[in-house]
Amino acid sequence: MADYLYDKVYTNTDCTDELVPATMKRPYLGELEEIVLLTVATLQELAYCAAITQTIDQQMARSVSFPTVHTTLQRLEEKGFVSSQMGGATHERGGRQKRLFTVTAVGQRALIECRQVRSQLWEQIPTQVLQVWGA
Amino acid sequence: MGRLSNGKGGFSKSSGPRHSPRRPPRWADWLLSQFSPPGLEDELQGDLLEMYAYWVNTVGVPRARWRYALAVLRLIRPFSWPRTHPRPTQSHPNYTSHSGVPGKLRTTFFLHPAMLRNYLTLAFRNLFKNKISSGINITGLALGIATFLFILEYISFERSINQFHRNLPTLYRVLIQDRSRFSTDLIPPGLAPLLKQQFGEIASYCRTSGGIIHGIVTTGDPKNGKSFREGDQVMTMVDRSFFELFSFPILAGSKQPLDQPFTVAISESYAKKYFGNQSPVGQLLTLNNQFGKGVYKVTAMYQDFPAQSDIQYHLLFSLRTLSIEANLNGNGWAKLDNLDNNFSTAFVQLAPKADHHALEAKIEAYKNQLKPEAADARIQLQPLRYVHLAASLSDPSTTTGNLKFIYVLGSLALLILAIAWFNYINLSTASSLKRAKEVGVRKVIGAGRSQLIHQFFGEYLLLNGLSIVLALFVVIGCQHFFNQLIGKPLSLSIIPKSGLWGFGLLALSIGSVASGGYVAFSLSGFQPIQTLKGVFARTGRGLWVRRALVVFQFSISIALIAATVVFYRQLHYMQHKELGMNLAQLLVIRGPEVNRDSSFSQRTTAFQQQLQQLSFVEQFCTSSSIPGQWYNFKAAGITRPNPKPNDDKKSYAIASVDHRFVPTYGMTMKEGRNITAAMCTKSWNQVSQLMLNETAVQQLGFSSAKEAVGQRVQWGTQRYEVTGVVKDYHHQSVQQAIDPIIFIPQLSDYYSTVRLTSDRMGDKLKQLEALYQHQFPGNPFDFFFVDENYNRQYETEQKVRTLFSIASGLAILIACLGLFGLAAFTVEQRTKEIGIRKVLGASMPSLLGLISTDFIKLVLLAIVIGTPMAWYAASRWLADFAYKIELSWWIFAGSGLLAVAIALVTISLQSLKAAWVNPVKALRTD
Repeated sequence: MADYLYDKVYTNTDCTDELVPATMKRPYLGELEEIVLLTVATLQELAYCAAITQTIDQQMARSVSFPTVHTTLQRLEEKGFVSSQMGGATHERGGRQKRLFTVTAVGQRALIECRQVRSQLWEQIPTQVLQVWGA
Repeated sequence: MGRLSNGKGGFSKSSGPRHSPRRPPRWADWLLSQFSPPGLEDELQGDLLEMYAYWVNTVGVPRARWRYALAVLRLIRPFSWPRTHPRPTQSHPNYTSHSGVPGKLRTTFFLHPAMLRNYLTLAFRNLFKNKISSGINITGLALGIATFLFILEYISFERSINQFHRNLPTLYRVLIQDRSRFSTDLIPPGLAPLLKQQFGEIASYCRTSGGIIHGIVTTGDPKNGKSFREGDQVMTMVDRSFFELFSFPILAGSKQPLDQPFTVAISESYAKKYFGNQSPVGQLLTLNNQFGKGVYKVTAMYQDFPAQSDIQYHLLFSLRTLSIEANLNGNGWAKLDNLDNNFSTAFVQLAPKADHHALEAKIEAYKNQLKPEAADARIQLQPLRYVHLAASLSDPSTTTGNLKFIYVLGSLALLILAIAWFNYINLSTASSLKRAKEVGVRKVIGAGRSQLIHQFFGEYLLLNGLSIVLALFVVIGCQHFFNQLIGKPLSLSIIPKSGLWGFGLLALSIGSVASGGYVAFSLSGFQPIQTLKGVFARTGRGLWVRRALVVFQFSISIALIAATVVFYRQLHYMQHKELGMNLAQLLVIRGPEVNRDSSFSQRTTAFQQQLQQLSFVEQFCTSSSIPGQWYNFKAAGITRPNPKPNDDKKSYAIASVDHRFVPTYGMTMKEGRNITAAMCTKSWNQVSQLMLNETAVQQLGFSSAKEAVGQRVQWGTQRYEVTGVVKDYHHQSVQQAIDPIIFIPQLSDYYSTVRLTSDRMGDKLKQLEALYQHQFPGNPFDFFFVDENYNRQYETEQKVRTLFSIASGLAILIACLGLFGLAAFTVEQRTKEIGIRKVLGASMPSLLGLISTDFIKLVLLAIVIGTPMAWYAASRWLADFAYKIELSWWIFAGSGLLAVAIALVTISLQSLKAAWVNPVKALRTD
């Protein structure tokens, strides 16, 4: 009987999933994640979801929907690349608070690594080819 | 991080038009304020508001509104969940900050994916862990639901019959109701035209000729064409209005096919049967019957009438043909304007908005004025929608279906379903001990009762879902078999068409919610401390509920068993009752219809003589009415010479037979003499003698059969002498009371009955056929055995019997499944006790008794409750039969005993297992 009881207790840890810190996933940066993270870095203390979406929309000539950015930001936070705090209610948002994002140390490292990988690859392209491309 | 404003605060200032460009769609706003993922309300609303302003500037208002709505839909629950916990966090993650009440213990939302996953895992684990009880639950429920669906299909089908006609609201069938509230649709053909002429409310009418035109149909050339014998259930004569009143599509030919005499419309399948792939329109059909020979031109081909139609004919001849005197072939009784002979049926179409009750009253007044002597009979207009199933159980009008049977079937379906649900309740609450600890732990961790209710209810839904899927498989798999059994083209798709799906869904949901809810409430109510301490004991209340449910299940099962036994006995009784005649080895050859020329009577005589000379023909007779078929007709106005008032309204069955009829059918004369050959040769109008049966003697008012012999009977202007009285026999099925029959002596070519010696039937049939074909070429040799034909009258009863035995078998099977599960559970509970008892020397029978006694007591109680129910139902059912079995005590005692035996076997399977097991093993559990 007693065994049975413990069994259940352990089983119940299933539902406490969200009570323990989110499991660290492999710190891999997807393409969209990278763009969003970069935008967060660009906007500095003004980085909140609406601003990020609008920036991407304007600067990249690429339409990205608000919920997608929202989810991406959540994922980034889950992975520990960004952290957030509340603040900055303005009249135009109906007096509601923003969630402001900042790039964490992990996020910075990830961005730098990302750039390094890319520049490495760029450097490996033969110069003649680059000239042909006009790049 | 308290919210600065509530959901609506932000917009309270703007009060512009409904679609102000400054405002995003209101409904989306509301959704967002209600269903934001917890903790994200503020930021999302704020961000989206900004985004909206941005979109308005960049892409315009309409697309902004659209994008806003899309974004909201994607962001609200359950499509989106916060992946991280709201920050900043307190030390304990289970404390909320955003709920507005800091420090209050919060439980995880029960529809949270993590919780759902957990519930699902546990539900499946429980299913697999308790294989027996899950199996029983699912099988029982699936069987119950499958039965329910089958019966729902049947009822849906019955309800859909005749409902497809476009003119349904204005169509009525004309009925005549007699003094005893018995109504018939056989009415005189002159009635409908007369009513239309008198009453403006009647827009149109259509008559069918009823059962008078059966005969032989020859295709193409009358001499060499193919011949088919067709009965009155296949063909009839109808008025030209037929296709206007009823919604039967015509596929080819004229749209008004029956305008002219000697025209016929044919169904698609019969067109194929008669003409193959040739076009039927324009072809000729020759019909030989009592109206002589008629050549009809096919003017239209119609789509076969759907199975949902009570009107089912493949050949529709124009009734107008009979309106011409010459075409009656001397059958003056069939004149289409007569008001005396009841053989036709009629439908009338009323003007829109005409009230048929008001019209009935007017007709009644008119009829009383026209025919004061018929004051007892009432002319009724029966709405077509109620022709198959009556409007209510108290409606006495004759119908083609049986509403009572529909009600009985419906209750049966619900009862079987209830038995299955009770299994679920019983097994779940009985095994609640297993779940009690889980409940305790969940409660300690912080689950509220409502959350547990949701969990258990969800588990039940899962179980129910599995059962429904299984039931659907069963229904689809067994559909063909079921359809063959009841002879109807049923399928699941009928249910939605007939508006019964609402009822079915309601019944299924109410039962599911009630049974699942009861279990969920009782399981979630355990006190955590008690269950975890182990002092938890089964509650007395739950035990009583379980007992009550078992008693209910078995009461129903026992009642059903008893009802089935009564059905079987009654049917057996009817099929084996002394009929007053001997039908064995009697073969009937139907008479010829084609080529009835001048040499016909001579050939008939020759045929009959040759027949009697055959060595294997023991007896022979001719008649135009035989047992198992109807009479020639029924007539009133037959009395003794000095009748008492109302005597002339009594109805008598008329059968025309020859002098050999009584001996051939093995009937006996009660008094007097049989008719003689000489009497039979006189023509119908010259006949001056007749025979009666005992019932007719009584109805005529003679004190005894002896007194009746030699007396005179008046019929119209004619007087007849009673030569003898035939002992009562069952001309029709035993279900009906014996009619008063008057036998008129006549030679006939209609039915020739021969009694054959019993061996080598095939050879004899061949000889008979050769003889028949020799004398009557062009006529199909058509024969049947009287006993088979007679027993066909019990087909409906046989179907009822089959349906009932299946239903009661299923009921007891499901109930036993439940009992089996309960016994298994009890045994499991008492394994240790049994082990100790065994060690201390308990014997096997005493151990079996230990387990079984409790259950047997319940079954005995069920007998006490179920028997009166069965007795009541059976006596109500038997009331419809004129000759019926006694409801003897042993039927009920036997059913009860059977139930006890089945229960005992079921329980013993489990208790034996427990009693056989090595006590050491039993004591080692835990």
